[in-house]
Amino acid sequence: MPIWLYVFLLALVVASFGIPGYFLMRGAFVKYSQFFIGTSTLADLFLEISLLGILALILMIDTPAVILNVFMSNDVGYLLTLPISRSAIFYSKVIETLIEGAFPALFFIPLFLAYANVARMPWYSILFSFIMYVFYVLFSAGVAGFLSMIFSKFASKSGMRKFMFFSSMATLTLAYLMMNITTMPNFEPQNMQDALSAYVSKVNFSLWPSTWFLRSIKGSPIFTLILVGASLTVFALSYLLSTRSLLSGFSNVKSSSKSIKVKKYHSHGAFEALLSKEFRMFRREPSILFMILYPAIFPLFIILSNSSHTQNVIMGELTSVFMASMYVSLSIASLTSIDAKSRWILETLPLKTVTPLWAKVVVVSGAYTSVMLLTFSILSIFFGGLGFALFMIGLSLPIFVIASFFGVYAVTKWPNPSGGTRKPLNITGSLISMLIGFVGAICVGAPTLYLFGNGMIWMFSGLTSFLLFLIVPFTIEIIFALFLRKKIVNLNWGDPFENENAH
Amino acid sequence: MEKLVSARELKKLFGKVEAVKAVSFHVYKNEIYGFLGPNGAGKTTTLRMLTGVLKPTSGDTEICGMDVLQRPIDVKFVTGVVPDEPNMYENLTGQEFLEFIGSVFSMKKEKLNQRVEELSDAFDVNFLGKFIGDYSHGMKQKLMLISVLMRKPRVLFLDEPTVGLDAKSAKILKMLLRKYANEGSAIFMTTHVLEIAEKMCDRIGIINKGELIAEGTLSELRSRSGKESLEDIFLNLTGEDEIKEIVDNL
Repeated sequence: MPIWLYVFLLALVVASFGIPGYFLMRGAFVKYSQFFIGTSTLADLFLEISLLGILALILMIDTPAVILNVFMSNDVGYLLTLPISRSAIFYSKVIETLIEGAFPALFFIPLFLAYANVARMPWYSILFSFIMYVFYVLFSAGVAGFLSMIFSKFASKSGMRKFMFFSSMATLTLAYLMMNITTMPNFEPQNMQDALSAYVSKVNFSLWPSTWFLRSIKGSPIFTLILVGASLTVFALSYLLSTRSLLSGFSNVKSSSKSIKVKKYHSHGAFEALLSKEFRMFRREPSILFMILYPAIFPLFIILSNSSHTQNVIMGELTSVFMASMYVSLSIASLTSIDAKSRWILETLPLKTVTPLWAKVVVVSGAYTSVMLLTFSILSIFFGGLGFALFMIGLSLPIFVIASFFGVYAVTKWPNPSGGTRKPLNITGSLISMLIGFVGAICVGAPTLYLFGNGMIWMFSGLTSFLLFLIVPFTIEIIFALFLRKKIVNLNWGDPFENENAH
Repeated sequence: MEKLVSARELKKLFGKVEAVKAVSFHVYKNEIYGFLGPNGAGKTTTLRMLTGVLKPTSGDTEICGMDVLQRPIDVKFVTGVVPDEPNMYENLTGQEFLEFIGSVFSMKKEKLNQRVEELSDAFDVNFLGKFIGDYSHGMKQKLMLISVLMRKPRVLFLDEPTVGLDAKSAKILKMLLRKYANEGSAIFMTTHVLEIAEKMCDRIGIINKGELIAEGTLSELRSRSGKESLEDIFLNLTGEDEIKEIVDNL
């Protein structure tokens, strides 16, 4: 794919979030800025919470990422033997990680522009605010680098992966709490006043860097100095410490590990052994396990933002199907990339080529179906519609199987050789997986709406809706299944990179 | 003598590059066959074709009288492969990995426990409860060897098996391979360590630029080349006897 197309796609992704984000937040800030809590407005409070969220994201996601990419990466050992200063190695790796990890920090830009527009900030104030924001991100990144050095003293590789998973979960919970505040205008004014008073005392705290930022952009020279000074100090400190910690941290990280007690060995059937292996891989690889949380959590965001509308519940559940069919492909692509790395094992086992593949499909489809079953059952306790939910899950299962096989096809067709388990597909593969997820959700959603929609598809006539919402989705499903079957049979899925070279 | 491995006119093309050029040889029961060659000579490609992992462009391979491409599953039941890179599932513990391999090869529970215990003792392996991702190269190599040796396969393929092993484990492995060969197995081994080939192998094949340029017992190779040590024979055959001149020019 040419570079301009990548830039275009990236710009498209940023714009697709940034432009609606700007207008959405601008509308919200117009209302929020009229609401005073003490000397601050609700808009100030929201900005501070968002800043705290970004700090949390950088700390909780980047700290373990820095440890894995800096202290545990395979090339650091080699780089240390070269005549390059240890600080240079440390910072080149940290910057590489943080550029990727600090990506969420970009989403603050449309939010801040909306805030600045509503607050009628002059252009030089906006420019100054962006400079302060750079210091804010630097401060967060510096703290993440500092924490990574401390953690690297006692963390093991497998332990750090688990920490990464749990920190990501904590971030999601925090994101949920943050989103909850945006639903407050739906509440009664008095309840909102009480809730906000409680928030203000916690959020608008002088020791938070978000408070320094907000007061700095409001013209306080003391807080400007504090923010700039703290950023530079944290960065300088971690720079000084890095020279020693890279060596000691690197070795410590490799040596310590939790050990599982060795018990008597058991022998199972071959397929059972494959299922057990895939289940362990699924359960122990945080990047895969993390994906399964999306279909469970995102519908909650949509439903809880306005649960009084039945349509929101349906939309939430459809979002869950979309997330699941997209992440089923990515999960299986990740699992396949693990096998590709150790491909000699499967290649030399007395098994048919598709047998290990079916074990993956059963585990991944089963896991996603179970999570959706649990989520929808809980939702149905509060909002009803269990029959609707079960019907949707029933329709989802074949989609998951098809999406799983597509994941295997995708990892052989569009592999990302340097992405490892976390990013098994290149950009083309990831975008196509998203598209397949979307088509999958349509194939599940359309028949469900046709049968349970209660007039939601009133704009179509009887025959048109029958064809569009029932016949077309099933036909697409069958054609896609047959296409994949043909492709999978001829694939050397155990060696995606050899396939790639062959094409 | 019973032929356990037969390669006939085995050839492999990667695009226009001829990695292996019509190689033919046999490995017999009770024999350790050393396969030597410089880097990029085609050793690993040949090994991958013999084990059914890579389809040859032409030629055929038989293991225990079974065609590798026609009966791949039956062939894999009787073979064991130790590759050059010990890449294994990092999120499994050593025990879980051995259980997985044992189950796929339908090993009985009692046999599995007994064999793992014996081999763990022999190779000083006391880390099977830890995750493979936390293992060093040598620890992975030991685990891989146990996973293959515990099955006592009839035909063993080993690609640089002693790399990463400590001296004691390397010695035990060499003795164990001899014992297995004496008990009826056929062992095909690639190595760069000529001393190992000299001491362990019953017959040696030397491959260079995809061609099998010499084959025989050590004494046969000596009498044909007129050189005494395997190192000299090897360097003479692979055209690297101008080493002194190269070093002097550096």
